[in-house]
Amino acid sequence: MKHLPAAWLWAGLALAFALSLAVSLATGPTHLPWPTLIKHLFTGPGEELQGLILWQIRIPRTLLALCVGALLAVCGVLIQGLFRNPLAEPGLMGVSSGATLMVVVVIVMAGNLSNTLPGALRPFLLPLVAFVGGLAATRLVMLLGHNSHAAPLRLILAGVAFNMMAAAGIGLCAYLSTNEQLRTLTFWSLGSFSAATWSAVGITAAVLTIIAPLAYRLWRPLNALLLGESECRHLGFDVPVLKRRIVYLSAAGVGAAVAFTGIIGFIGLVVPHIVRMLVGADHRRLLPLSLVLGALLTLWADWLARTVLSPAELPVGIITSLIGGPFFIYLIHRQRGRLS
Amino acid sequence: MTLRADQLTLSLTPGQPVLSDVSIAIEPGHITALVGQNGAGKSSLLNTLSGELTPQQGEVSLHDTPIRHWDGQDRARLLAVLPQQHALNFEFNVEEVVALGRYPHATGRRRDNQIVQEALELCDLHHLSERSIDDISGGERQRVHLARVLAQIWESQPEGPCLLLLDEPTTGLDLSHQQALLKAVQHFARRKAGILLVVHDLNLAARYADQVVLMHQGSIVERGTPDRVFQADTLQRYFDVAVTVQRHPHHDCPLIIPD
Repeated sequence: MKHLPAAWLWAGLALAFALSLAVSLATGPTHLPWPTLIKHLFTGPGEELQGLILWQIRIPRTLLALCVGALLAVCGVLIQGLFRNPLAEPGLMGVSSGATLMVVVVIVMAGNLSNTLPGALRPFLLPLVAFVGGLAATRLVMLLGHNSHAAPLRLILAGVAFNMMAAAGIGLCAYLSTNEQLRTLTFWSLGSFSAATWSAVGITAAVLTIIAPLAYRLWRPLNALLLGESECRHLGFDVPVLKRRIVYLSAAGVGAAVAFTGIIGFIGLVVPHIVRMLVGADHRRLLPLSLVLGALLTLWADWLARTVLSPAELPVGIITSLIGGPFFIYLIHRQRGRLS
Repeated sequence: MTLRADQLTLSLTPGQPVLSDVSIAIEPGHITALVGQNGAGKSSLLNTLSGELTPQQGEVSLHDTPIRHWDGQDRARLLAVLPQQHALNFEFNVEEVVALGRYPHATGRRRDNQIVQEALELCDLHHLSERSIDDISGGERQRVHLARVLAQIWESQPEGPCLLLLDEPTTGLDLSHQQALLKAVQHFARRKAGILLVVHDLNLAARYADQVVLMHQGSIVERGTPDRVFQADTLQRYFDVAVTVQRHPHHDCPLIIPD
């Protein structure tokens, strides 16, 4: 298959990026005409309602969608590389549900925990909890599905089993929760950017700035790992250290993403696939292009989520699953020839 | 001495050694063929020599330093391994797979690319270089991975000669490509690389190997030139099959014909 020259792709993505940003900032329940939008963009929020909508709602929400989408797509690339399976994604491997389960447990069982922390640390509690949950889940799934050979089926089955148990745990928390907590839980399990704040943007952007270069530095060993673990070792890479790095990076990335928005499925699965179809499997191109495309697709999904039923809005997780589900089926069909 | 193992004992499950008291040396410029029945311990020995399996007793050393003390990248510049099976579930093209062999090196993109092209040429893959690794036949894929490991040890290193361990590289290749593969390997041996070849086809071993090592039940039972090891009574004893050994009509080597 002939692949696109990367320069064309970058040019196209840059154009799409600029357009998407403009549309995302301008549209919503309150339409912001271009002159107003540009004026407030340069003068700051000011006292007017439109300025406040732009700076307190639209911009943080747009930035959060971009950061979370970028994180999910990069982690999708990492997890698919780790399991050498193009059908793997953080969700299937339990990272998302592990992170969500921990967050839900903390919300329902230890609702007062955040009050005991000093004010400055409170925004960090849930991301940290989500990170720990995601990490524990990935380790557990890797332990349960451990297989020295290249058969990733056991890992996927272990992930499925873990997801069921996590769902049971989340269900139990829902059963025990108060009405108000239940609303929060629904928010977590379906995913939404409606609670975007500047502190959420700051934390996810910081995590992205740390994780993206660290992930990019792994492009060579990730390529080598696709050959198999022993081939990767014969090419001089320390495989256990590499696997540990991938697990920590993806747990941190998905943890940060899940912490503010809940589970947004399929971005981590679909985006690396689209990029691979366009430019091939080389991680040197795959990682940066997935980051950008993941950010864009998530922004579009969020834009759909808040405009389809405007002024009401859908959880963005419903949109991504609605689009990602059929795409997943398409992938399984495409794979069938190779797996048999 | 390039790669040597002294008195290796390896058990994968306690009490059942797959290697017992095995010593072997892979000399630069020589092709050593490792032969024996299925389950004789050939692949285990190869994996121990590459440092992938750690023996319970004995030591493997590469250029006089224990293999486990080598830095991964330094070792990979000297020692390449071609395993039996390849799992690649992703779309790489042939050229990209061969280029993976240059990862341990820091010779620059131009030199790497030049070596990749030469390795493709040597393995008769030039016409396939843009094809996806998924779209080519099993034999072609085997040659792609050979080109990859050859690209990995293309040039001698300051630390000493390079080593290549091949686990049944001719399996699944047609007759002409079996010969082509071994000629490529021989070409590397002439350039001072040390080669260990696990092989089931005794006639290929007889024709191309400088030294033959015969394994049986986890031990080395015979070693020496093909003429010395490939004798009818030896082969009958360790392979459980009656054979006739003649001279090859065109080459100065034994020709083994099962009765």
